[in-house]
Amino acid sequence: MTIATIFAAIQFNHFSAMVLFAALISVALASLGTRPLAARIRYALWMLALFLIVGIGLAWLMYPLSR
Amino acid sequence: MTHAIGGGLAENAEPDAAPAPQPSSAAAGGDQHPVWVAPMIFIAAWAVPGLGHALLRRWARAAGFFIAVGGLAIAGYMMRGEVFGPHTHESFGTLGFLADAAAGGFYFLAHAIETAGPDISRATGNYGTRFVAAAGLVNLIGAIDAVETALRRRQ
Repeated sequence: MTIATIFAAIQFNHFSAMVLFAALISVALASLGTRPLAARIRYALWMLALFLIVGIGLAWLMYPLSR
Repeated sequence: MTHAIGGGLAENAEPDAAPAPQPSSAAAGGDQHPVWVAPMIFIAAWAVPGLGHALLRRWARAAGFFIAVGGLAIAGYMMRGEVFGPHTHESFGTLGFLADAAAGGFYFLAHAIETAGPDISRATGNYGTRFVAAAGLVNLIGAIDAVETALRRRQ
């Protein structure tokens, strides 16, 4: 089994893709900070939570438009 | 009351007075790099995400950018996102190529991971296209930050 077949077996849905994107962007933006490492980790977690809250909130706001 | 001729403020200050200001970080020397290092840092940071910061011994930042760029690029390939080549005949394709190629070494892994080719007929494929472009843009931010750090414009 090659790496490519393992990657092909992993399936994403809308929610998992959003969570993964938010997590990785949070890591990147927190890495730009100049504060100590522990503060940057807290900042990344806080940013991830806000990404998810805003994303799910916007999805519910747009839900009536899809019907 | 007399003072020594040529004595500075620090010499005449009372023992419990505020300490003299320290020299700025740029003037203090340390790991400040000459300007000609900046292009090399940029190329290293572009080729391998995080390598620019690793060369500057910013290990946490290097790991952060490697994980973020690598994760975005590989996830984008797994979602069968579209990876733009250099020879497109539309302006958006050129922009897409520039964004994708900014991911450095991960751009050249596209054909090895995405063996089945892109599939943007599904929503996941469209997500993948954005993931790959975001990987390049994040890597570009990291490379610029590495250059700024090398020139001591950032800590």
